[in-house]
Amino acid sequence: VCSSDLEIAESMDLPLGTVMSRLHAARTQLRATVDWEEA
Amino acid sequence: MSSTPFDPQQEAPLLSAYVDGELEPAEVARIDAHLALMTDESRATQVEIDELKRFNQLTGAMRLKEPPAEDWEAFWNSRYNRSERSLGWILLSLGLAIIIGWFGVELAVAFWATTDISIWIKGCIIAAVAGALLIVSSVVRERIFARRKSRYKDVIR
Repeated sequence: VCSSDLEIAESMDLPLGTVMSRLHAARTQLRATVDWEEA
Repeated sequence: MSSTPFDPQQEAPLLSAYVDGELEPAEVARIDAHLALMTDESRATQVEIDELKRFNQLTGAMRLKEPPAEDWEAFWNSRYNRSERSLGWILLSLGLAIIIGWFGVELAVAFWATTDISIWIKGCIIAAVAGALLIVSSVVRERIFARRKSRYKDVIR
């Protein structure tokens, strides 16, 4: 796997699944915050 | 290769990675197989994926706006002023502390050496000064503690 998620996991010393779930949570939170439907 | 069916409720974080192209082929195949089911759940997953893609396009097109030059100038001036004033306060406090300390020692030595005042009066004066210092330090400590614990300390007036 050559992914930026993997690079984040290695540099932060975190499991890949944790990185993915945190990125997803951040994106979900951002989607809920930003009024992007109008964009 | 995992043969477990994709569960959109439990494995939602994989959808972000799917859209980003961060998944291994086996995981991509699991999600593709789920989407191919054409059930209500898989259609909802497809909608979620489409929204994630759209959101990625939107955020990918965003560009940070550089602040105007005058804002940068004001920022650096403010930093410079703050540093200058901090240094001024440190030097002032240090100088005053040394002067007060030196004056206090000189006064205490002269007070102790004088024979014009009886030992009882000296004792009373020492007690009064010690009491005053104790009260001042107690009040200052209380004020500092109250300031740190204040519920309204972050309120901007």
